[in-house]
Amino acid sequence: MRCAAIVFFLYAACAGAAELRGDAIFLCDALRQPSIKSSEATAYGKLADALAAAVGNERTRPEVARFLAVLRNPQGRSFDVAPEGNTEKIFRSVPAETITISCAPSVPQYLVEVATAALLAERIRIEHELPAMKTRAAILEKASRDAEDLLKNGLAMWPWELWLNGLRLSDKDADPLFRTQWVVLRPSAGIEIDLRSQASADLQASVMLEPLGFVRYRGDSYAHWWGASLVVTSSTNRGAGVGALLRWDNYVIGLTRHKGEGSEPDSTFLMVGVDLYDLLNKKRTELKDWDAFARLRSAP
Amino acid sequence: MAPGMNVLFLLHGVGRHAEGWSRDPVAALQAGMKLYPECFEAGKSLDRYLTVVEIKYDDIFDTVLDRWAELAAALPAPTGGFNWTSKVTQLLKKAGDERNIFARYGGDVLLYCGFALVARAARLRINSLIASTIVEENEAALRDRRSPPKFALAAHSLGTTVAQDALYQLASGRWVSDEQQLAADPNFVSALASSAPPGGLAVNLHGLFLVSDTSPVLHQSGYYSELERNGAYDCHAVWSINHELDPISVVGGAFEPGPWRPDKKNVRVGHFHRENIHDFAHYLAHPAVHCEIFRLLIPQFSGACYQKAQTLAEAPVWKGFGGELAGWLTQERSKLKRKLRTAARRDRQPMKLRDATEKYYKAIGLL
Repeated sequence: MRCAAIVFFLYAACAGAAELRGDAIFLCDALRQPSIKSSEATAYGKLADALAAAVGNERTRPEVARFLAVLRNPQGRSFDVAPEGNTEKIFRSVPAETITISCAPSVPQYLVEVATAALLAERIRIEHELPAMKTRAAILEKASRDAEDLLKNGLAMWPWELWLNGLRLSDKDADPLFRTQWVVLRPSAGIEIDLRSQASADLQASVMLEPLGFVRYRGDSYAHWWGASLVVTSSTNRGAGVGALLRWDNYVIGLTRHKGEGSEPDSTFLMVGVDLYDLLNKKRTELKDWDAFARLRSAP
Repeated sequence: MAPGMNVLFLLHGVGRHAEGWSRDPVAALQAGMKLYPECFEAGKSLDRYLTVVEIKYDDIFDTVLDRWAELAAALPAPTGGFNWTSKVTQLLKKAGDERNIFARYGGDVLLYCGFALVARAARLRINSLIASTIVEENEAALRDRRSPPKFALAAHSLGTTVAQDALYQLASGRWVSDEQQLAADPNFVSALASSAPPGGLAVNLHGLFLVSDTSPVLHQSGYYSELERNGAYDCHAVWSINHELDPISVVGGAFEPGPWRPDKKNVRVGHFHRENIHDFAHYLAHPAVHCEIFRLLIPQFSGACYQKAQTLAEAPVWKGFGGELAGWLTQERSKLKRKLRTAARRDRQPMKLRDATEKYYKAIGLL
């Protein structure tokens, strides 16, 4: 018991910031007893009545009158009591209306009542706003996840695409993120297949440039999309081609038209992105393996 | 998190920051606690008095650089004269591979200020963590019938800009529609009469500490520190804390006059306890800096403790050379000061800040 008393004394001697302890208030390094009870703090109006009764004639003091007026019409105002130097301040966020409680040499009882009412009012404010705070936190979590998913999982953007798509954002982060991404001057690798000379398996490695296009995201995590673009290709020995492509996730397929040289007629090429080409190749190998396996099994 | 304590969010600046990056700043605060044996119990660490929440956003920059490097690596060399794809590939791979240098050279500044999608992702990450922490801590306080806790954020360097922008969005954005609010809280209509008017939900951050403030030059949204609603600032108190020879503060516009709120507190320090005076921990070690954080957030740090810190801050060791540099000769001291002055250019442009960052790190031998 004696130990507890010593600990409490030490704590009280050092403590600074105001806080409620049951029906008492710890203010300016001392435990003080207000006449307002925390049970009276069920609503701002009730609290204002209790404070008016507790301060008696002091209610005409400008700072008390001001406090009572705000308490009766709080409009979301914070009633936090915060330390600064050797003072405690109420309405610190409104410099012209700040109520300063000097901690030396003694604190008048009416300010003890006001500080108590402020701490109780702050609790009421938090209670009122907590459901909205929770909703906001949940919305923010989703918005944050979307913003990072786009950068992590979405169609990778070249620096200029990242910059241009950024220009489309609203200046308010609370507005939802777009679901359609622009594709601009996007280079990538592909394979072009001459549809006129399939017999010779005329595959051309090519650099593709998409002057303009878009992708539309589907699903939740910006990991899947479809889209379309105009495309210009430059293959190793068939010159420049012009056409259009379709995109499904990382798979790209399109058609390009290459001008024939001299008397050669123009050619239409099937254009395949590297990922789709890899996928098709993999499937083809799997099929070959399966054929070989099937032949082995059927062999006498 | 321990119940019943106030919360300090820490936000980093440029450079690479892994998980646990706040170890140094926290160590600086703990070292500061030892200067006041009458205010803190011997052997007790900071986490017995304060909940520190570390916030990290530079992995978002990493993601972007990694993806650029991937794109560049997948690009084939074109046929014909000018090999433009190789040039692009080289540039982007260099940024991704030499991430440490890129970050130190101020590349983070370019990513944040030049790419709105990157900046938005960083702001949302920060706001999501702050908003959820505020909910959790307030909920616990109400459940235990305690006074609601106080929340403050100490941001460093580029982090000051990110903090101003992010909190401005958090406090001014219409995150919750009336319909959503009504769905979440059946008492919403009756509560409306006494709570904030629809359209915005205050953050009510109790303190914002801008350490080596770059927000005057780099900010992308409004200033959270100046945001008012119904005549009240959303941020209860703001401190701009700068070293008089920190090139980042100088170029970042921290010493320029501006339309700041009348109660904004400017803390100017001039100590040299290590070569990297821009370092977050170097700032926090100073009594004039940590006393403001302790006084706001640690109830045990009384007015008398605050006074002691103010007195300590005037001591010669906190006004000039000390710590690791205590043994330096006059010549070495003058040389460092000269280098720092040279690194500072007062042009108010993001690119100039990037240049100043590069010069600064070169001057102190970290590049």
